[in-house]
Formats: sequence, C-alpha cells, structure tokens
Amino acid sequence: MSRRRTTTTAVISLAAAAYVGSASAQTGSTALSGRATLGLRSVDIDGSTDKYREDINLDDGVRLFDFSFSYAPEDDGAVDRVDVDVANLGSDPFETIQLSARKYGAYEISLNRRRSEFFYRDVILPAALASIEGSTGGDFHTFDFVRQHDSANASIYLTPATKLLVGLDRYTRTGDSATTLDVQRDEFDLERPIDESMDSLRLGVQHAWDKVTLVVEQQSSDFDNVTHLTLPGASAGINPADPAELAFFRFDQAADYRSLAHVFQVVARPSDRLQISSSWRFESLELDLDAAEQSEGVDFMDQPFTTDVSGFAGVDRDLALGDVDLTYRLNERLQLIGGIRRQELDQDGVLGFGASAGSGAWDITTTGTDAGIEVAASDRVLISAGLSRESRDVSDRAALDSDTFGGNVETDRSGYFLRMSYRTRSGVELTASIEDNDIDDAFALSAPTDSQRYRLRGRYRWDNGIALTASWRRNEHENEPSAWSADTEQTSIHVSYSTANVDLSLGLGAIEMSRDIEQLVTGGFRQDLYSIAYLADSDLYDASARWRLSARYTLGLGFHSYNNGGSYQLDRDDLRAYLEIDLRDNYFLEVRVRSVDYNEDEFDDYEADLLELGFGLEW
Amino acid sequence: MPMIVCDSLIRAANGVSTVFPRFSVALATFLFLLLTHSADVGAQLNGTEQARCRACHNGRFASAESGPHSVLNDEQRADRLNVDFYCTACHGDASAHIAADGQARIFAFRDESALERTAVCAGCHSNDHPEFATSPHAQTGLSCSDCHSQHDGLHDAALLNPVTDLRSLFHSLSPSSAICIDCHRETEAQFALNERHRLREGILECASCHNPHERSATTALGGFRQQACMDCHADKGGPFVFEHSASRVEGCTACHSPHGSQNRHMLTHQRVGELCISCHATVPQFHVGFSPVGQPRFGLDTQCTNCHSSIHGSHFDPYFLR
Repeated sequence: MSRRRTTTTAVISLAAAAYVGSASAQTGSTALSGRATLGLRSVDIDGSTDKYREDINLDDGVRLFDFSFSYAPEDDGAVDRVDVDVANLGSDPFETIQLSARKYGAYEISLNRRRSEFFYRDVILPAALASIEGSTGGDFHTFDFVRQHDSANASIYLTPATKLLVGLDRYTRTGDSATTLDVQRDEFDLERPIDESMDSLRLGVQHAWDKVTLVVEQQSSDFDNVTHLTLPGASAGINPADPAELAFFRFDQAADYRSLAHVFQVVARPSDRLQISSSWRFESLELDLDAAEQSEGVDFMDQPFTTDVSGFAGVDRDLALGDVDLTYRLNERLQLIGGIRRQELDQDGVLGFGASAGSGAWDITTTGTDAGIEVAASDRVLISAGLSRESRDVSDRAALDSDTFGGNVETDRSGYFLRMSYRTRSGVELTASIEDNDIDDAFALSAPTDSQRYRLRGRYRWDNGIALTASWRRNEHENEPSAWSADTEQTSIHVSYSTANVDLSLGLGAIEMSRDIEQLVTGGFRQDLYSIAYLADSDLYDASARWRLSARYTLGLGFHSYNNGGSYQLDRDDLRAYLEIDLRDNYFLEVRVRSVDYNEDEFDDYEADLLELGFGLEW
Repeated sequence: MPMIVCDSLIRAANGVSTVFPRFSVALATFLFLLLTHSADVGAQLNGTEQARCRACHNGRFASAESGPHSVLNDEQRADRLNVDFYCTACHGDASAHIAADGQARIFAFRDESALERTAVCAGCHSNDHPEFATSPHAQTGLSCSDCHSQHDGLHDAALLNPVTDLRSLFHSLSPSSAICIDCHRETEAQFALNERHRLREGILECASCHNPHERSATTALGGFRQQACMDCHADKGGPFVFEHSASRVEGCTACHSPHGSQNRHMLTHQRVGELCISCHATVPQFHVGFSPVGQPRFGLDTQCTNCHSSIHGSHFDPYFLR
C-alpha cells in the first residue's frame, strides 16, 4: 500500500473513529467501544541493516498503529455484535485486518486479512574465510517476499438445528529470492522471483438431530506456482578453480495442483454418558507441471556446451483419513476414552525431461489406537492414564532412467501417558504429565526409537494481586542403533503483581537443546567419523512495569534480554518505554521509545532505536 | 416475541428495583404471567426463578443476556435442548439455592471436578469439539470454563477469559494466544528466539497451527503432522515426484523447530552439514575426495543445500539438484 494511501486511510479511519466516538458520547450509548491510534515512527539503525530487516523490519513513516471497535446493540436487530480490529496498517511487516459480525443463533461472518513480509539475507562467514571447494562460506539463499492470506468464513443457521458453513481462502506469496544450483559440478547464484497462490473453498452443512449430529463438507483447493531461475549475468561459478562457466541459464517451471476433499463427521450421543464421534476425509489431488531449461557455457571438462530441454511432471495423490473416538462417562468421577485412527496415502508421479524419464511412488498406511481412563479422584484431583499404539507401513519406489531407489519400512510405536492435576480451594494449580514411547524400526537414523516427555507446571494467584507461574518441560529422544540423541529442557518462572494503578511482571526462562551423534560416513572407499555435538543454551529475562502516575499520565517500562551460548553465540537486548497522556474528550497522546542491541558475530550485529509518536481516541 | 417483550419489561421493572425491590419482583412476575397467559405452570415458575437470579446476580445475568447463550431464551431452541432458561441451562436446578436465599450450593463452575464442568458444556457443545476428552488439556484437568467464560469473556467472540498482563509492551498477542501462553510460558519463550514464527508480532496465533480441543500433534499420525505447515508453506509440501523421505514420513519437525530456533531457517542445527549428516551416512565418492588420507572434501560446515537446493522435494532429480 502506498504511503499516500496509507496516510489517507489512516486519517479517514481516525476521523471516522472520532465521529463515532463523539456520537456515542452524545447519545450515551454503551453499545460502541473502540480505540484508534495514528502516528509517526522514526527508525535509526547502526550496523547490519539486513539483520535488522530479518529480525524487526519496522520502517519510518506514518502508521495507523491500531484501530478497533466493537458494536453490541442492546436492541434485537439484525446484528448482535460487530468487531473490527486493524493493526499496523501502513506498510509495516505484519498487518492484520479482522472484521466479524454475528447474530447469535442466526449467523456468524468473519473476514480476515494477514499480510507479512519476510526478509532473509545472512552471512555465515566472510568469503575470505570460506572454503570454496568445501562449499562453505555462506548461505546463498536469500528471500524478500510478501505473504498475504485473505479469508472469509460464514456459518448461517438455516434452522435452529441446521447450519450452513462457507469458507473462502486466498493465499499469495510474491517477491524475490536467490538460490544456488549445481550446473556442471559448480555452483551458480541464480535469481528466483516468487509467484505463488492458493485458492480454497469450503462448503458444508451441519445438522443436529436429537442424539446425532452430522457434518458434510466439500473442500477444493487450487494451487499455482510459477518458478523462473535466471542467471543475472555471465558467471564463472562459485569455485573459480572449476573450469565450468555459464554465459546464459534459464529454468522455467509452472506447477499447479487441484485437490478435492470430502469430509464427513458424525457425533452420536446414544445416552448422556456415551459419545461416539467419527470423522472421515477423502482427498484426491492432481499436480501438473511443465518445465524447460536453456543454458550455454563451458562444462567441467572445459568444453563449450548448450542445453535446451523441456519436460513435464505429474503427480496424483489419494489420501484417506479416518478416526473413531469414544467417550464413556461411567459416573461423575470416572470416564473412559478410546480411539482408532487410520490413514492411507497413495501417491504416484511421473516425469519426462529431455531424454530422461522417471517415476516416484509412495504408499503409506498408518493405523493407531489409544485407550485411557480419566479419574476425578476428588473435586481437586484429576488423574488420566492411557496406552497408545501405532503401526506404519511405508513403501516408496523411485526411478530415474536406469537408476532405481526406494524401500520398505515398517515402524511400530507403543507408548503410555500419565497426567495429573491438583487444584486447591485456595487457588494453587499443579499439573504433571509423562509420555513415553518405544519405536521399533525408526524411519531415519535421526528419528527416535525411544522418546519421553516430562512436564511440570504450578500456578498460584494471591488475593493481593501477586501471581506466580512456574513450568518445566523435558523431551528426550534417542535412536539406539545409530546412537543419535536429542534432548530439550525448558524452564520458566514468571511473577506478576497487579493493582488498580500498577502492573509489574518479571520472568526468567531457560532453553537448553542438545543433539548428538557419532556418524561414520562412507564415501566410496573412504570412511570418516563425524562427531556432531550441537548445544544451544538460551537464557531469557523479561521485566515490565506499567504505572498509572495520575489520572492523565501512564508510564510503561519493559526490558527483554535473550542470550544464547553453546554452539552458536548470540544475544539481544530489547528496552522499551512509553508515556501515555490522557487529553480531554477521550483523546490521548502516546510516546514510545525502543532500543534493540543485537550481537551475533561481527558481521551481523546491529543496534536500532525506534521512536513512535501516536495520537489516538478511545471510546 | 413474547419472551423479548417480557425481557424488556423485566428490565424496566428492575429499573424500578433500586427503589422498590419487592414491588419490582412482583411486577415482573405479574407481567410475565400476563403476557404468557397460555404458558404452563412450569414456564411461569422458570420466569420467576430467572428474575430471582437476576435480583442477586445482575451483572452475571446481564452478561448472559448480551452473550451468545442468550439464544437459550428462544423457546424453540430451548425446547430442543431441553433447558428452562439460560441460567439453569448451565448451573442446573436453582430451586434449592433460591429457596435458601443463596446459601445452598449451586453448580458454579468453581468447586466441581473438571469432568463435571466439561460434561455441562458438552451437553450442548459436544458437536463442536467431540474430541476434547482425548485432548491433553482435558486429561490434565482442564475444563471448558478454564479458558472460556460466558460472563467474563464477552469481549471476545470465542468467550475467552481475558488475560491482560500479556497484551503489553512485548506482545501484540491475540486473545486466544494470550490464553494459551498464560499456561505455556515455557513454550512462549521459544517465540522470543532470533528465528521464530511471528506469534509475538500478532500475525499468527497458537490456533493457527494447533487445535486446543483435539488430541496433541504428537499422537497425530506420522507424515501428516506437517498438514498445519502446508497452510502457509504449500510450496514445501509437494507433492513431488521425488520426495524428501524424512519430510514426507516424519514431517517438517524432522529438520525444523517450528516455534522458534537459534538457527537459521528454524533448523534444529545451525550448520546445515550437521543436520544432513545426522541422517545421511553414505555419500558419493567425489563428496569426500579421492585421497584415502587427509581431510575429506566435505564436512560439518558444508552447505549441502548449495547444490541440493530443492531439498524439500524435486520433480526432476532424486538428489534434489533441480
């Protein structure tokens, strides 16, 4: 959106808000409430602008920081409630627009737009320290694109028992990117514009009889992706020692797929104690693709070459997903749960590109069952325990010319879970859970054969406004045959204190991750042992305070610090402050400052200072 | 229509109640009887009880009237759901509580077990979330009223309990995300890492990927844990003629940490070579060079994706070179 349009929109929105707000005040109506803030932002960056754009990406300029209103009339008209919520309008990297309207028992409509910018350009090592032959030196993939997701959803009660469901989604991704490609055994940087869209439609009906509810839904999706890889200019490749050169390169690929899904859901309640629910999804997808490659240059044998090939690819996928769940409440203290799930995927693809022909096929069948019991040992204590099993059969077959690939892997998982919660009358909440799984024949060397998850959480709120939350979680994964292990441990403590004029909070967090494997890599006649020991040790601190100094002045302060040790050093400090001044007639002024200090290595450091001035109205 | 008129008159009667409380109750009762002269005794009793609820719990009553549960005042819907009026639809028989002037217990969604509280909501809403009993939330003792409130959550379409301390300096969180993070603080910390999905910036919500009313993603069947990812990352999900097996079978989390990571592209390793070698123990000869001694050509610092750039899947090359 252009800055002129943004400014115009923002001014009109604020004017509208002012009109609505004053009208509401004059009539004394409490049906309308809302807030709008229009302002200016100034940004000063010192250091890596690319890293700032990856991390924060806020720009200078006029902004509609927020605009929201809710309308809930007391009379029984065509609408019971309307909500509008707009945030960060004005070319900020994350814009959201949400509108909803509903009449309880009659209809519900929502419209949403989410627009986000993604930028990535990262240097790992300077070129002088890189090993070209070893293909180290940097991440040559860059991205600068916009994602936009527009959705419209409606549910309309045709009768008190029948509801019509409609959903429309449009997703687009457009922008620029760069990638690398192996051509003649050397790597070349190529430009890759992004042009992608997905349109989806959902249409369904839900009908509720006395003891049974049925949902039938049709979903269709249409996905288009156009890819062009182009050489920005003649290139000797990334490795100057390699004789390969490119004078011209272009690769075009246009892909689109259409999918159609039929969804059925049945919920039956034969009695007050028994519920049986079942859902089924049958989806078929067809992908068609055309591609062409033209290139001209010198090959790895120092001989001139040209290529001009074209081809096609097509993939058909059929997917069936089904589950049946049962809940039986024996009494107010005891409930049995159980379920069966099955999934079947059948995928076949073929390709023809120049003189090459190939195919790829997948068959995946998965069956899972679980059963458990929930016991309310008292009004304060709930204990749940259960068993689960899953059996997966994966078969893949691929071929390209005379080469064939593929195999068959059958994986079985069995596990149990145990969860407990305890809540006292004084407001203490304690929860604990354990999940343990054993897996036979994991699919990959870095997929677990043994997996545990532990979780503890406690919370208490005092009557004087103090609240304390503490949580701990640990995941342990291990593959016994390959000796791979991956552990994650997270801890968090948070204290807050709230009164009518003061809000204080303090939080401490720690995230520790480790992934280890001693991998013996075979390359022809060589075997080399690679020792992988990845460690991430992150500490996070945050503190915030909000103090209503007087009827007119409110002060806010906040500090967030993150530092990561282990295999990759990084730290970021984020300091914020704001002052809100209440003016007459519900108008207010805001002054916000923010200072970010990011340190990754000497190539990706930045410091950013942001100043925002806002003028707003609240009604 | 009679109910709407009756409701308006009861409001008017209550407007008088600040001065003449007994008179207003009597007036409301008289008006109700007058307007519903064809109603049976049961309906008249319910109207009286409804007025009694309001007399003591005016704020709660008003919030119910202005919320979605007000549809229970619709006779046809109330008949179908076999409820009297919206207070007793959730709080059960109020006669003892009223008779004892509020001293006798009533189902208040406060002291009852999670199973009992959930069963009340499920009486009407089991269609909406039939799998809730199988979810880790239900199994950890949460009931509907721990996140939703008919009386306190009216600012939000999903009737979520307001969590104000998180919508502050460091967050543009949606109300639904704030509810999740009120408990899942340790998970929220991952969204503060340098490579992250933009939850704190408000462009995504926890519910964008998770359904809190269903079983956990870890028990979802293998290979399709990535379905939530494909809503935004459709280009990575194929289908491809040549699939990256780990992605197709184990899902995106085989290589990525979806909440946030210290590593580029939210990978589980900072060095791409480390991640790839974790699984791939066999490589072509030319990768490691032709000398039996000395350093191999490639190692943990190698950017494998410089050549294998179509790493999520390829239509033309089984080694993801195109």
